[in-house]
Amino acid sequence: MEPGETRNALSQLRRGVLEYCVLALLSDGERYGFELVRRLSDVDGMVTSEGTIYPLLSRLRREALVTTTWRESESGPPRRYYVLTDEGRRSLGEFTGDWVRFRDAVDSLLPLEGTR
Amino acid sequence: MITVDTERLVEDYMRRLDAAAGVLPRERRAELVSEIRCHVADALREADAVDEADVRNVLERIGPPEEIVSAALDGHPIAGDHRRTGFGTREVAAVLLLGLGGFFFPFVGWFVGAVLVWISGAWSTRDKLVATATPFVLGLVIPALFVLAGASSGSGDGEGALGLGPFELLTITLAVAAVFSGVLGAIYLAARLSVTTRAEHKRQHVLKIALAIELAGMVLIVLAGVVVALMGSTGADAARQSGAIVGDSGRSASASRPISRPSSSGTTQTALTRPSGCSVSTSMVRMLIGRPVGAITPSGVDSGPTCVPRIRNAITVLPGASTRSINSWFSPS
Repeated sequence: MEPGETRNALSQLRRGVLEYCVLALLSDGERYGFELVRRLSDVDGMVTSEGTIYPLLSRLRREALVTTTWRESESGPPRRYYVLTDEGRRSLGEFTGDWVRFRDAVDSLLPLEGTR
Repeated sequence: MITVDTERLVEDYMRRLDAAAGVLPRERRAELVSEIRCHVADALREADAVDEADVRNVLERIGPPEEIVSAALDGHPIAGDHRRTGFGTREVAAVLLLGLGGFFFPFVGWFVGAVLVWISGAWSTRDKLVATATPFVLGLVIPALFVLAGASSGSGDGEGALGLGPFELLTITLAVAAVFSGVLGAIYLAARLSVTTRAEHKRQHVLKIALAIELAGMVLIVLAGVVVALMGSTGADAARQSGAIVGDSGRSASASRPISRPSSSGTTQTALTRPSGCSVSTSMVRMLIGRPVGAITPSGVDSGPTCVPRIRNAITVLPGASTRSINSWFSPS
């Protein structure tokens, strides 16, 4: 196996789950872009290029999973705040169930002893 | 604090981003540029960026503008081919017409579907070719099977099996093949659609349901056909015991029917005038099912040529298209 292959698999996986991580971050209240991106990049390996989150946010908005409002922030200029819609909440709930099953399935196949 | 040099770094970056985002629709371009500009300002403030290295660091974390725009194009390279992204009502109509159109408007429905497929940008040329060329492939394979079936069963009665047939057979089989391969082609195309947005996911879902219903209908036809064939074979066994040659031609099969089913007398005339395709379809069904099916029609199916449903049954016994579940996470970019 090529050395980069597992990394590639991980980046595919990350790309697939990223939007649900964004939805999850919005589940306890609205956030603005920078805040969201920072929370995501605080999680190890979740985001490599911070800027790529914005196209994702834009897509989520166009798919009506989130809405945005322009508001003044406590500090600084007006900002675009992202808010989870009902549809987004439903989608997140659905994915959470799928993810748990998926994760358990993969865990049950991988030799995990000694790696933790 | 922020000097002229660091300011220029940021402006250069923003200009590169704006240029790269030129491939996006105007609103999305404006949205992206404004969001990144906000982000840069916030990041510089948070990092308390004082010198050039700090600013470079901030911009590096955000990533190359080309990469950001590429993400906006769902991973497709900017200059690259994004013909296969996105599909709408027209693609749904194309797939449905290809799969179901032939049933409602023979030939025309399928043909319109095929035209829609070809003018759509949602599939590659190869996919279009595979989906719309199937009728012709089946049109060649099925007549070949017919000839084989006729040759293997027709010893002594070969002329009856092929008869005036080849061209007639070809026409009939092409018609039937077109209808059936339409479904296979439609399933293939539905699977080959690249699903990126939720709306597309829903549309693909609709397609899957429609095609599943159609396939279920076909399975029912097959089951009904098998039942009919089995019922026919009971009659055929009886006929064989009484010395008739069964199933090799419409003529002999219909001649045997008054013996096996005295109750359906008076239908001999219809059987005699049937095109020779019927007899071949009988031998073909027999070949595929592996046992003689004998008489062409059981009682009550005398209202018209039965060859068409028989051929349908035979075709659907052939391997179907495999459906592919697309897990968008793992699909290569």
